[in-house]
Parts: sequence; C-alpha cells; structure tokens
Amino acid sequence: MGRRQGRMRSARLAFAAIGALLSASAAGDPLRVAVASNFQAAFEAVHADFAAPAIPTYGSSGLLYAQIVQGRPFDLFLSADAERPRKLVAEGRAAEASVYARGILVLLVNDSEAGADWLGAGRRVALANPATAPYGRAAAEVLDALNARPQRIQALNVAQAFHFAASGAVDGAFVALAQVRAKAVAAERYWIVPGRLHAPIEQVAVVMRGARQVQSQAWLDELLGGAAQRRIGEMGYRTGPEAQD
Amino acid sequence: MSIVDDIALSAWVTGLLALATTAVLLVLSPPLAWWIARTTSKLRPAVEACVALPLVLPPTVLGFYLLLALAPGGPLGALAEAIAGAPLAFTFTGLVIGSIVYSLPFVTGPLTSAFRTTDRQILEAASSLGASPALRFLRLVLPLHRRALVAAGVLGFAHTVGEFGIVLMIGGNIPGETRVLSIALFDRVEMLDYAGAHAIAALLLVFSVVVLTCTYRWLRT
Repeated sequence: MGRRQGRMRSARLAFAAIGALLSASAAGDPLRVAVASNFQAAFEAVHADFAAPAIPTYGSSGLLYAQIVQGRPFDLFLSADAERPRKLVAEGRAAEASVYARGILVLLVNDSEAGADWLGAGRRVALANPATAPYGRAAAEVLDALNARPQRIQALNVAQAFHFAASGAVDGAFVALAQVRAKAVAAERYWIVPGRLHAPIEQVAVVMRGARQVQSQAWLDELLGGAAQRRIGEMGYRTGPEAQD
Repeated sequence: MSIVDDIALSAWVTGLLALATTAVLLVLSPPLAWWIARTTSKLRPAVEACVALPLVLPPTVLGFYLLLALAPGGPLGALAEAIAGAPLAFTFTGLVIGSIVYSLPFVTGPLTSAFRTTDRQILEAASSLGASPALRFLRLVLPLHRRALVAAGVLGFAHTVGEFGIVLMIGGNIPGETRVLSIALFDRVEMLDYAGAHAIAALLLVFSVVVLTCTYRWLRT
C-alpha cells in the first residue's frame, strides 16, 4: 500500500515537472514568433543579431492566425498582411500593429523569360492559397487584372508554391521577391509584378498580449530599427518611412 | 463556390479516386500477394518490405519523391508526357498513382495472409487434373478467398478516402480534379469556417464507421 502510494507520488511529481517544462515559458526562454512563409529567409538573416533569442514557426498567415485564435501561444506574429493582425488587435489579443515590410510579388518561371505575356492558357502556375496566404491573394488579383487564365495549382503557402516550381512540376509560380533572392535565382527567370496589378502587400507585425509583452515589444523595436530594416530591404522588400504605419 | 457545392465536388473526386485506386489494386495485388505467399525466392523479404513501406513511411516522404517522379523531368512524368502529352503532377491520374502506392499494403497484406492458408492438397489435386498455374489461381484460389478479396478492397477504398499527406504534396488543390474531402476540410479549418469543417469531418467519420461496421459484420456471416 505504502509502496503504491509512493509510486503514485513520484508519478505525480514527474507529471508536475513535465507540466512546468511545458507551461508558459519563463522570462529567459526564446520568444515564440509566428512568421509568414515569405519572410523566412529575411527572418533568419536578421534575428540572429537581436538581443533576445526567438524561435520561428512558419506558415501561411491564415494558418498562423487560425492557430492563434485557437489558443496556440505565440509572443509575436509577423503576418504577410495587415488585415489579420488588425483583427487580433481589435479582438484584444494583440497590442498595436506596425508595418515591418512591404512585400514584392514576383512570377518565377522554369522554361523561358518571365513576363506578363508568359501567362498563357496552356501554362500551369502555382500560387499560394488566396484564402489564407496574402501573396496568393495578390497573385489571384494579378491574374484577374491581366485577364490571364493559366491552370492554377494551389499551394498551402508561398514556400510550397516555390517548391512546386523548383521541383519542375509546374511551369511557374507566384512567390515573394525575397524567396528568389535568397535562392539566388537568375534575374531572367523571374518577373517583378508591377505593384499596380494588386493591392499592396503590407506586412504587419503585432505583439501578442501576455506575460512577455515587454520583451516582445523590445524584439519588435529591433525589427523596426534602422539596421534590421536596411537588411530586410536588401533581402527583397520595400521598407523605409513609407513602410511605417 | 458555395460550401455545399464544394463538399459535393470534393466528395465526388474522393469517391472517384478511391474507386479507381481500388480497381487497379484489385488487379495488381492478388498476383503479387500470391507470389509473396508462395515463393521461396530470396527476393521475397525485399519485395514484402517495399509493399509494406507506405505503412511506416510518412506520407510526406512518399509525396516528396512522387512529385519529383511525376514532374515533367522525372521518370514517370517524362513517360506520361511521351504517351499522353501531359505531365502527371497535379492531375487526377497523378493522384491515382500516388494512392496506389499509398494503399498497396492495405490490399496486398490481407490477401497475402489469406493466400498463405490455402490448402495445398486442393492445388495438387487441380494440378494432377491438368489445370495450369494461371487457371488454378483464377478458378480456384480467387474464388476460395473471395471474402479476403472483398475485405482487402474495402480496406483499400477506405484508406484512400482517408488519404491526406500525399495529396497535400502532389495534389495542388484543384476543385473537381485533385481537391479531396480531407484537403477541403483542412482548407475550411484554415479559413476558420468551422461549420464547413464540421460538415466534412462528420461526413468522413460517419462514412468510415458505416463501411467498417458493414465489413466486419459481413466477414462474420
């Protein structure tokens, strides 16, 4: 009897220890940052120099937003759009929203020189899911604006759209300029889509409300600071005064 | 597209995919299972391992390699382009190929187990009456194991209906062509459309319970 109770107690202790490990991270733990897929390369390039360590989770803005709404704990959310972060602010889940970059959409092609006239009916073009990925929505707007009707292959996010093109399985893909720069794609293989063909891709970041708001705000201030913004600009985004809200 | 249209179209694609896959597997699997059950070849363990591979490999691994194989530059894609003039990635046919690989162990496995129980004396009797191996297989072995054939077919069908990872990798989410119910469900959840997600999830759950219950009941009668 006593032995069994002892075993129960140690089991309870073990569970408590695991619980403590899993529960809300202590102040020194890395910040948990939800990052839109297009920003992966830029995130990796800039965050290493920041004062506080951060662990990213990549996905489409819609997927990450859905996870936040369902209660997944994040300290920051770097969205590829403005709408979802502003919703989080309005719902009281996040503090004030700031634009950290403006996205540039490109058409990456596999076989010939990229351009608007490349988008014929016989082409197979990958784009991120317009319902959940801002780059996908911009791509759909471009196809509508150009009245182009290639076969649309829908990817989960811009990272998968890029992968579909890289595997050779599609003729081209709408992706972020930062992705083709990060992969050092030759300039004749992509076409920078004129901004007038789609609504601007305003990428907005928010600090989630919670125990680590202060550290998270400090991290965001570094992201919005001169050095990081210059680096983000080099990676393939529009930044600078117009990028501030 | 309305939710109802989306679900109906995705259900249609899912059913068609599962039917096509099961049909192909019911042709491919019996001879393969018979060979595995009867052979003394040293190759048997390797072949059996390849058949069982989809049981343990993450579907994303299969999907990743399948996409490379089906792309215009890949072996299957080049073959398809030479024959049909179109590549296979992100097509219904491509999905059928992926599903055949994915569901192969679910059809071949039960058949192999059933075939191993075949009474040798019946086979020898048929042989002494002059029946060729092919004839014995078609007229004797298959009818003897018709229950196992049905069970294997149902399992292959149901497993294909539940496919997700491979479709995510090689599907391309094209309505009416490659958007299956499990993908439509994932989309609905990402869009925070829980009503639509509930409808699809319930449909898949009820379907699976009904199919499995009917199969188990039928197997015992």
